[in-house]
Amino acid sequence: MTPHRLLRIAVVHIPALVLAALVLPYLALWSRLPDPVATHWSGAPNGYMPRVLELVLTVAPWLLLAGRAAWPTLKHTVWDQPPGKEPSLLVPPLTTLYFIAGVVLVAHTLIIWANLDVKQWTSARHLETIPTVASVLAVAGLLAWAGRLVENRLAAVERNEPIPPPALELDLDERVMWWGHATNHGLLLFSAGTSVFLLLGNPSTSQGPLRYAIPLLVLVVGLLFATVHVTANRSTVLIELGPWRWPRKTIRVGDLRDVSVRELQPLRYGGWGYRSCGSRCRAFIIRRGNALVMSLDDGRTVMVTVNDAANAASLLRALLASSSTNV
Amino acid sequence: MLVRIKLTSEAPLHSQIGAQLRLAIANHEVPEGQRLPPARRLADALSVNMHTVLRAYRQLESEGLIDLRRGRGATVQRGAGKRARELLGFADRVFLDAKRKGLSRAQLASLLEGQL
Repeated sequence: MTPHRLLRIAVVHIPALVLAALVLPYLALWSRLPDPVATHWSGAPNGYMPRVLELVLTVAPWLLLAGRAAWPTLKHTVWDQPPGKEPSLLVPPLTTLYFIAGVVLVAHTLIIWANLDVKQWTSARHLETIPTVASVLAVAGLLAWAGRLVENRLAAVERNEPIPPPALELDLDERVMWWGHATNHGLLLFSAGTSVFLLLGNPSTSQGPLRYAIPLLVLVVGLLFATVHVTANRSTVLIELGPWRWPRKTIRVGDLRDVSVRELQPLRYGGWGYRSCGSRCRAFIIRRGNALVMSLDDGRTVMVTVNDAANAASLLRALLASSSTNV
Repeated sequence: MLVRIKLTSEAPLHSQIGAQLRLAIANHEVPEGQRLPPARRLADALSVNMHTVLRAYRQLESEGLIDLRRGRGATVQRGAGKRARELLGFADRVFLDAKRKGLSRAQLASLLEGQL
């Protein structure tokens, strides 16, 4: 099987199968499900929503996520290829995508099973938390592992070369600094919207301090990772998160071994925020696109998605070059 | 954006900083609504006095390019890009005229100072 055929199966056919698995059984069993259906449990069912809404809230996010994950890949592989050259691949974030597919499939199947042939949602079958979560994670983990296998197979063929930054020459009497930022407005809206949704929530769910704490946590985490400010000068690179510019990370220029710019896809690293990008590699992923990639002398790598990353890389490379000639 | 200042340049440090920020605003490198780095942060990074940076910021504020507020920092104003391009275009025309008339940069600066 060619890599391109495998890619097409992975990003088009399999997500389509997942979509069919979400929709078709639900529709086939429609008349055997109560309306509303139980959708929340704490042992016994304690939350509900209309049948239609449950289906829409399951299918729509999956469609958006799978489409969003597949689009750059399809665009790169099918539409953006230079003529006459061997088409290169852009590997989609299959590990994350298939993990989410597992979560959605199992959760949706359990909802169908628990509500099947009951007269009303309060009579739905019980779902104990630990076995439910364990089964969701087991299936999702298995699918994620399969996604990782496919990613690794495709990554061998992928070409994601570093983007060479423009050359920069510095004079000895020159003082120089670079600053940049990145903002993910979609993430801001999503976290604000999710907070409101959780706060207003389902009237049948239990009240208590968690009702306010969780929406607040979602909002704060969203704010933290929706913006990054980066500054660089002759001695340090400073990465600051969020509107309060905290937490922050400082990297000494003297500890850098190499600097480059790469194109990052958040879902390849499990999403947005502070992510692991491999052994001894950490990434501040605010949005998709160009990222400043800093390799340190001790083998660690730090990446941060930021606007104008090319000029930052130019500056840091020029500083590294001047320090190596001064040694 | 990159900010570079030369200690040996004839131009004062605050003018160098202001000129680069003005150009960046004109080129949309720093978009409208974007907050500039805090003056203290920029000063520390360039190893200059904070008041040097503040002088540059105040110059840009007087040109209508940024909004400078205590506690909120400096923000690029709406329409600043167009205004910055107009100012730079005006300066270019003055320099070209002066050059055609055989005036040096220092002579032009002295002439303008005298008029003001």
